[in-house]
Amino acid sequence: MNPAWWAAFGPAEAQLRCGGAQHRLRWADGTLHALDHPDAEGELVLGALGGDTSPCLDMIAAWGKHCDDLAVLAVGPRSAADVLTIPASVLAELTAVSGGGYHLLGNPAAHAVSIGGTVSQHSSVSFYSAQASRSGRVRSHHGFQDRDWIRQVLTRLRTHGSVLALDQRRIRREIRATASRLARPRTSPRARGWTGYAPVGMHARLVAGWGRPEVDEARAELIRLLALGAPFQFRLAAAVAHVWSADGANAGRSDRARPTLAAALAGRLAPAAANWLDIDPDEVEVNVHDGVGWGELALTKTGETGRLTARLPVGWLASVWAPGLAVVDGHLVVSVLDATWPAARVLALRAPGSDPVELAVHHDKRRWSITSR
Amino acid sequence: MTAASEHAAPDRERAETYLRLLAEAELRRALAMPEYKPPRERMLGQLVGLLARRRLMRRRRALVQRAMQQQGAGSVSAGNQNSHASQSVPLARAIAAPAVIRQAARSLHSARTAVAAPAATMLSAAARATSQFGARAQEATWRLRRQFSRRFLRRRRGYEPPPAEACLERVETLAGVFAAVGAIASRTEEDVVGGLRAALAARGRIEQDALLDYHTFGGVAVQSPSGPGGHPMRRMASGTAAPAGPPRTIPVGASASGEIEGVRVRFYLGVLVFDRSGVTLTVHVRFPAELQEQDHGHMDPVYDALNQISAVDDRSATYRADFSGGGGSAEWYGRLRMSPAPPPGVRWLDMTLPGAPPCRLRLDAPPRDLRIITEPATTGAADHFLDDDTIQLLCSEPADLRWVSDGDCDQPPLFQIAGHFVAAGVLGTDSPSVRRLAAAAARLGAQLPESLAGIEPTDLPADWLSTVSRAGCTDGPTGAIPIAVVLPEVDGVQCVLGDLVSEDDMASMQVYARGWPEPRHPRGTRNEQIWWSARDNLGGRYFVGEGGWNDHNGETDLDLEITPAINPQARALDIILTGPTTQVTVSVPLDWQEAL
Repeated sequence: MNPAWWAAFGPAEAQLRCGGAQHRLRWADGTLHALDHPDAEGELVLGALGGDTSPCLDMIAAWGKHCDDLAVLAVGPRSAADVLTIPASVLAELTAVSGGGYHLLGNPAAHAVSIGGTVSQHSSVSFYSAQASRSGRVRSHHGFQDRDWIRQVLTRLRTHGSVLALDQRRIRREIRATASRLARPRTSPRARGWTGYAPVGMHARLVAGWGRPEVDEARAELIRLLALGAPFQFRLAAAVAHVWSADGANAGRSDRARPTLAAALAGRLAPAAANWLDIDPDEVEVNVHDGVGWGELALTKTGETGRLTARLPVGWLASVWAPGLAVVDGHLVVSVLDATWPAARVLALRAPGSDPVELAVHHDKRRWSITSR
Repeated sequence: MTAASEHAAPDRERAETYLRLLAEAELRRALAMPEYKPPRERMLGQLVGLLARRRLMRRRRALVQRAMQQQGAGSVSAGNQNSHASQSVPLARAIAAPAVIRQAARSLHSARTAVAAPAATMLSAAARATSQFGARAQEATWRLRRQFSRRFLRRRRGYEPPPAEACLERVETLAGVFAAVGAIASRTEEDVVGGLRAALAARGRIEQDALLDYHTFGGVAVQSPSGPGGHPMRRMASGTAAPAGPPRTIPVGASASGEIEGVRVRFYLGVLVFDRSGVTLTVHVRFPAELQEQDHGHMDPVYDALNQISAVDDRSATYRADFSGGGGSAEWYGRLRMSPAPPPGVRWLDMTLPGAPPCRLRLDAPPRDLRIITEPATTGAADHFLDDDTIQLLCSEPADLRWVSDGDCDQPPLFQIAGHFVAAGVLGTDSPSVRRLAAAAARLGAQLPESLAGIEPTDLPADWLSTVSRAGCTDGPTGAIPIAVVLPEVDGVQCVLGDLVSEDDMASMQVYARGWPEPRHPRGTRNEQIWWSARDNLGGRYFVGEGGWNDHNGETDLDLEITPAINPQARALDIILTGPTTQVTVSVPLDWQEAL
């Protein structure tokens, strides 16, 4: 019988501000606990019924919600050396996201503008904006513009007070990024300085659909979870990988997520294999292994470089990679046979193509090392 | 190679896996780059602020010191009798200081109150004068400043994106192209790009507030396929079946001279379209040639004038027209939406255009009898994408694919994207479009990437060569044709062709559509699953691109641009709309009307 996916993980703790005090969150045995909320379950129920919630319990709820979120694998760490930093400024903006003040464009009466730019085949900016003026008239601007024109529009919008609280920094970035993509000026004179107008009705749907709260909330939750720190990032990634593995709750739906899971495996095996064999990580090809056993792995030499091809189960991410067991003392671990942190028995390869050997490993609070073969 | 094999549907799972693995490789590449430190945008402003504050504080200190000296002098003279006066002066000053400051502050406050009103009036008048002068100066020196900033300032002030943006941009472009040709779903495109953007931002390789970007990321799509759609510009093709009964259209083709704000203009009213949401009339306004080069910075008079157009019918009922469209220094064009919609049975409308006599539109004019052919589509979206961009490359006008090559590679981005098409299984190595690309590369003397090195070139089609030979021509006929034809439905999309307006260097066509997929230019990439093309009776081929669109409740107004200039010898133009399964061709006789 396989050990639990979390068996090779030690507990982890983080602190966060909750109700004016520093509270502790503790992850152990695959579950996140709010240590300073003894009746967390009751509080969560009350919260669901419309009662007050707290940051600790919000975090517990978010953890549960994102335990099968493949975005964790897309954004989360690829190796122990891969450090994610969520700056305080981003976390501060997240407060605005969940506070409801962010969705100015969700309200057709709001005075706001958003500008998106793309580049057409003629290297001009395909410019789009929707602006709700004080009189309630929505003006849309779309067409092909050059960057000077965009500056003029921005200046005019600011002068008219229409670019109010809506994340001006984002607009600026969008405009700067768009302008930087311009390679050469628009050649056709007919589109120069083109400004489009449309009556209110035409943009009601567009404005109403903007900045949907559920998208922002999901994104905000995930960023807050990642901000808990590296130990939690790895544990959350393990939880997600487990859910999508053959033993997980979403195993039946994993076919739809196969490309994502293959990329998640490749993105994590590549640095581990590069470390193990000193090969180019771009020369690592991984596929999802569905059958019985740990999978397969082979190295083909092409000139100076080698190419590693592997098939590994998604569960490898949860039980091997996430607890930091991928490479232990020159062995690539392919499976965990038994584990009670800080000790584990694993199946590992000394070299590609060799038969896996059973190893006993131990975690000394810094890294795993072999204790007996 | 048969048409059927050219049109094989791509393997979406393979293409998605390829793209996601590419994103992983680009993330690794970005991680090898140094962390991005955003430029301190307001450093100069902060410095100026600090200096100003320092100066102010120095003045205040001097004021307080002077007050203290005066107070101290008074205390000293009064305390001369006292034997220990000299020791107590600093202490007395210290005790007196707050009172002195308070007194000084009170005096300043009362003085400020006394002068506040006249000063405010004076200041606001000065500000008004300054701003008026500033506006005049700005207007007068605009060209000069623009030239100056172009020449000297742009490089210094220009935005330098983080180096890792190039990694993101490659994935973004490829994802956009894959989605545009239907090799992956739009949702997958968002997911891959959003995930990579967030991953780069969380590692400080691009600006970190990209974590808050509006493009969503993550596997939420797997949990809820109909879940949040992200940015509204990324709405999926509506795919809704058109309501019962096709739209109706009437050719108008009326011209009139008018006047807006004292400027003589020409109006051209093209085609009336009747649909469920109302009645629209295509309109063009042209400025006199001598005024076309002027900077029309403030367009509101034109917009307002176009919104004052009204009409009266043969039963004396009146209508208002709301303008939707836009314009620039040469002309304005768009649609007039009639409100209320003229009921059935109305025979004519007299339009009141600004500064023009009433212009009568006959509503009982029969639609044009044009030859329309409906047939199965024989070209896949990926082939079309590659072909179109290959012709542009041959015309020395390569499409801007937003692709920063990695390393020393100086191959055109199109070659690299074609290489990715083949590697991802979107197109086979025997695909005709890939072979035509190889032929184009040979003609241009360019080298294909390694993945395409073994491709056998094929002959370039004759109509391609005709397009290449006419690139940049400025001999197009000048005039308009109110086409006014309702096309049969193409894969859930129904279009009404409005008017075709030809100029010396290009032509344009206004189209009304139901169920049109949007947006058409996600991140600069064309949506290729439904596209337009044109051919003249002499075998010349034309690009038909979109110059703009306006969507309202599933009904879309499209402005199409046709390049190169229409051959003046051509007598008919086939306008072709191709969808995933169906293609419609309408042949339009080129009997140009003098319009504008």
